[in-house]
Amino acid sequence: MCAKTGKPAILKNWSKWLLLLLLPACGPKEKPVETRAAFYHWKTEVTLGPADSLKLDSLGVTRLYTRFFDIDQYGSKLKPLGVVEWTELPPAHLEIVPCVYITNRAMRFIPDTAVQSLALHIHTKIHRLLEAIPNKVPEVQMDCDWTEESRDRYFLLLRILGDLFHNEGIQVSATIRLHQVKYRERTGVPPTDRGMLMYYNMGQLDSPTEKNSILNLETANLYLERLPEYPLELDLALPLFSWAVQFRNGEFFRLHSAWNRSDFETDSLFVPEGENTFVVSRNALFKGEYLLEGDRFRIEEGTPDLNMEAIRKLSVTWRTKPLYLSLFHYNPYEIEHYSCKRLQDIYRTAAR
Amino acid sequence: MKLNIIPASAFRIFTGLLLGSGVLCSGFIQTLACGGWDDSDAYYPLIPDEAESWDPYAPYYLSGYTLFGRTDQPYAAPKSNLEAWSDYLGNARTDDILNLIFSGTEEELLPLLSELRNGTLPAELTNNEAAKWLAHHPKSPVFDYLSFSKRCEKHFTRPEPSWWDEPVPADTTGMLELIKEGEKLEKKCRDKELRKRYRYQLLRLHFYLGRYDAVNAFYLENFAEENWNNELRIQALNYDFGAHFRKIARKDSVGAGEKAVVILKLATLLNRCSDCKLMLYEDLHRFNAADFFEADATLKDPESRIDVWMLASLRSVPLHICLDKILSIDPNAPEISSLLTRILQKAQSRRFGVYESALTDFFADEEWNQTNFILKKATLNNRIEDRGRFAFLMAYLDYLNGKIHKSRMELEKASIFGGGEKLEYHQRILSVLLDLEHWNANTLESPHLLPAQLSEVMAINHAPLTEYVFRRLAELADQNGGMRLEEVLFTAMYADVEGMMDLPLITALETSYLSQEKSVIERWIWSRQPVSFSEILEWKADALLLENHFEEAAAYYSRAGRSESMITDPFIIHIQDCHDCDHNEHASDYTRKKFAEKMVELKKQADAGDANAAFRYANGLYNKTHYGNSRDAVNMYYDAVNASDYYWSMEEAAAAYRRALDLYRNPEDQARVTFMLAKCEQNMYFNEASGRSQYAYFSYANTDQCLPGGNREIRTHFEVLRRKYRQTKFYSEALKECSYFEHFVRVH
Repeated sequence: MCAKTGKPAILKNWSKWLLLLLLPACGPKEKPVETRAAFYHWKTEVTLGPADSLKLDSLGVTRLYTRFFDIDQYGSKLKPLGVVEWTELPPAHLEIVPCVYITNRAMRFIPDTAVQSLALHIHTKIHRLLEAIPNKVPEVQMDCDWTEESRDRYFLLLRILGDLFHNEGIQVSATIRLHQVKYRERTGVPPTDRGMLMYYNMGQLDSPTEKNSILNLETANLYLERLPEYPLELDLALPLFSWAVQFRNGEFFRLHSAWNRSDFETDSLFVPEGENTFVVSRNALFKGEYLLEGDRFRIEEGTPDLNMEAIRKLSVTWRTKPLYLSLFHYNPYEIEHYSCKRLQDIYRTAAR
Repeated sequence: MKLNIIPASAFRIFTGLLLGSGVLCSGFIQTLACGGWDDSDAYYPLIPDEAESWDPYAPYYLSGYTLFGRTDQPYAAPKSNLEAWSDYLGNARTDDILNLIFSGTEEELLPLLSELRNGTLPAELTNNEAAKWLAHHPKSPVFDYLSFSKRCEKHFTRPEPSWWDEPVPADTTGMLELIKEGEKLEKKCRDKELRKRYRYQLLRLHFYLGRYDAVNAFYLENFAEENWNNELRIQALNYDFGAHFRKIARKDSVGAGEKAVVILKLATLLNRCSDCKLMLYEDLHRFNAADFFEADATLKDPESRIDVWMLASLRSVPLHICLDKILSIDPNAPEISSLLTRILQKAQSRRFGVYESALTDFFADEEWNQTNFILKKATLNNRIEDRGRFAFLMAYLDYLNGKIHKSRMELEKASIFGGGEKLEYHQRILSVLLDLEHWNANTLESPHLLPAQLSEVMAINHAPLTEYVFRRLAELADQNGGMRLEEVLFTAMYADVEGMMDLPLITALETSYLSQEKSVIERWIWSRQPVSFSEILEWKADALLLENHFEEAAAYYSRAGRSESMITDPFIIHIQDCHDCDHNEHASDYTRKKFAEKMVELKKQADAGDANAAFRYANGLYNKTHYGNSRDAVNMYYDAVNASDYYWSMEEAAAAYRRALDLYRNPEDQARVTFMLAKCEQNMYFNEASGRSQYAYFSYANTDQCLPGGNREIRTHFEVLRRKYRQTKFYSEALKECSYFEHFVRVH
């Protein structure tokens, strides 16, 4: 080994180093974190045209969390399902966060020894799918409703994915469900750069007494107490979707994700019962389905008002403000249904 | 390994499996087997739930041959492809055909074909019958076909997928070239079977090229007549359907006529292609109720219209609507049977709480009302030939709905219609079920009516009905609480009652059997001999043995003339109990009878002052409890045994050990007996403190923490052993073997 002589570099260039050290002190005060606007895109086919681009721009959306594929068990293997298809390229200025949903069943099924291989598959598949688009990719998000039984393998998967993507300057995040916040000792905290708190689908969909399983703030309150202690920095996902839950003879019958309130309000076939429920008045065909007299439909919605209320309640609880507020999900009906201003209000409420 | 690519629904099998199996289970073959019988079910499913047995009884069964039951004659299924090849290749073994033609790759088969065409039989194929046939027929046109079809194969199959790879684009050029070649070969070929096969390959090539119009046209021209006796004909139909299906899937809006065509194709396939059903069911999701209504409106042919409604009934449209539609098209359509069966099953599902969760397939109130209305209409329709079954179903639905009086009235009406032997059989069953609804505890006192009704039950000779009736009677007998003789007697008519009874009940059973003044019910039941007298005697002997009445037990075993053998010697004892070790190492010729006799003998000797006999007698008492090596002296799995204090209690064993202790003079023997008293003491603690938990027996570690008084309160005999017998050899042995004792001595 050769020894160098002379002054250490830091002493040679002391004036530059001093300047560097002084810079932060001389600069403006650190800005408070601003919550940025994002959307989830959860359909297989990506068809975002110029009109969509304009809409997203007007809402200030800079990031699109995009479902790339799901992973589920298929026989003795894990298989990617519903792989994203770029029918139209997403607006180039949007950041894309590839999202991969993996079923808990798959994570329970996979042996420890296969986790590395699964991570490599996911990594490769995401890159192949990204080849078609020019967008910047700052983050990859994994979505799994993991349990104690699958936790170790899922966390191992996240660690390996972290290693793979960090080398490319890409962060890895994981979705966090409310029960995982409340029972974090049991479920653990995923070893990722960030988490995305999924603040929806929190109720009992199939229960006739449920008011709104999509976003029920009373239910959510039960989980919020421990939010400030959650050790992972969290972004926030809020629902911007609706559906109709059909009950027949008092029992859950079907979920109609493409049916919404206006369908029921504008057809005399339905008799309103309370705020969110409609009862079928006679046997009839409706939207192609055969409905029986007495069928009940509960309309569940994640409305802008409800979302803003959720943000206000959350804002007194969260430890650090989310960097991103992402609405789930980008759906032309919902986007058209609410005025641009009301949607902007959601983001602004979070940004305050 | 290769995976065939299946048209239309290629990779939707996965999601289809769940729902597919659901519908096939609920509406196809298995029916009630899907739900099963639960002890708590208080109602009787009319159609027996054993798949193999219900068919002969069921008046409305689905045909096993087709989905819709158009005919009960087997559908003339074409030959399998392998059978067709076997016929062609001189009855060659199908395994040989598989090995030669199907298993190998293109690269493997083509050189082999060249050799065979030259009349050379490769060494590895000398025993292959298909190869031998080919070698003997070098001029056969089949060589050209096999070469062609094998070269097509790679376009229809792909290696077992690595799902993570991106799909390989189709080799369009290669397929187009093969179409040209295939068309030429087909024209040139004079062999009818091979020409069909060429056309089949051409159909597939068109399909995988995405030329769906061409597929439909090609199918119509070449396969629609269904005159090819080969299962590939059905596969061709599947491709035809797949092409239609994909065409409508591509479109944003599809005309009703176009959908009707696809719906009919799907119906035909469901009837023809047994392998396709799960996948095809998934394809049903493409159609909603409105599609079926529209399709029906475009069709004229009654059979096609019926097919549409049968298909609609599988998923989208309530059964009663489909029934109504079909009745209006053809009131005597054979399909009505299968719909009625499904209505029946659905109604039973609701009544018995057996739902297909995947389908939430239950009967809503509105469906219930509408179904009754439609059935009623049918009973008034003179054009219907067998109105009896509609009337009967009405009666049965009323029964299921708890409308017993109305059901009885409907049943009487149904009997007027007649309907043949099977229907009459079911009418008898329903009649019994309706009677049963009126039975109560007083019925048991009825001296004449009940035996007459029970005789009818036995005459019907229908196992599930018999069980249901006697189960109900046993429940009625049990209404006053506590098990009574009547309950035992009724239960004995359909189940094994031995484990239910304690000594007084068995004695009551014995008395009843021997009584000269039996009640009417007793006489009726005993005349059918649900249990034999020797069984009763043996049960009584077992119960006496359990309660340590050894002399009487031995006598009863003698009278019964039988007694269970025991696994091990019930008199050996160790410092540390190891039942498995005893069972493995100390096989015995003891029976329960011999054990009882030995206990009598030992007791006598002990009473005469024999210390060893007293110790062995105590061991016998210890070993026959839950804690000993001879639990098989009694049957611990019987409720009556497990609930008995005699099975758990240590009191009698401890008393016997104390007596042995008094009789022994030798400190070694005294130490051994003292140790056994310590074991009894510990077991008493387990009995008291941990609810007779066997788990507790093994779960206490060598620790004071979970024992009262720091171990001392329940270890009085350990203390005696330490204080009085420290100098004995046994003391050292116990210290070495028993970690509990070692812990006690070390800590206290």
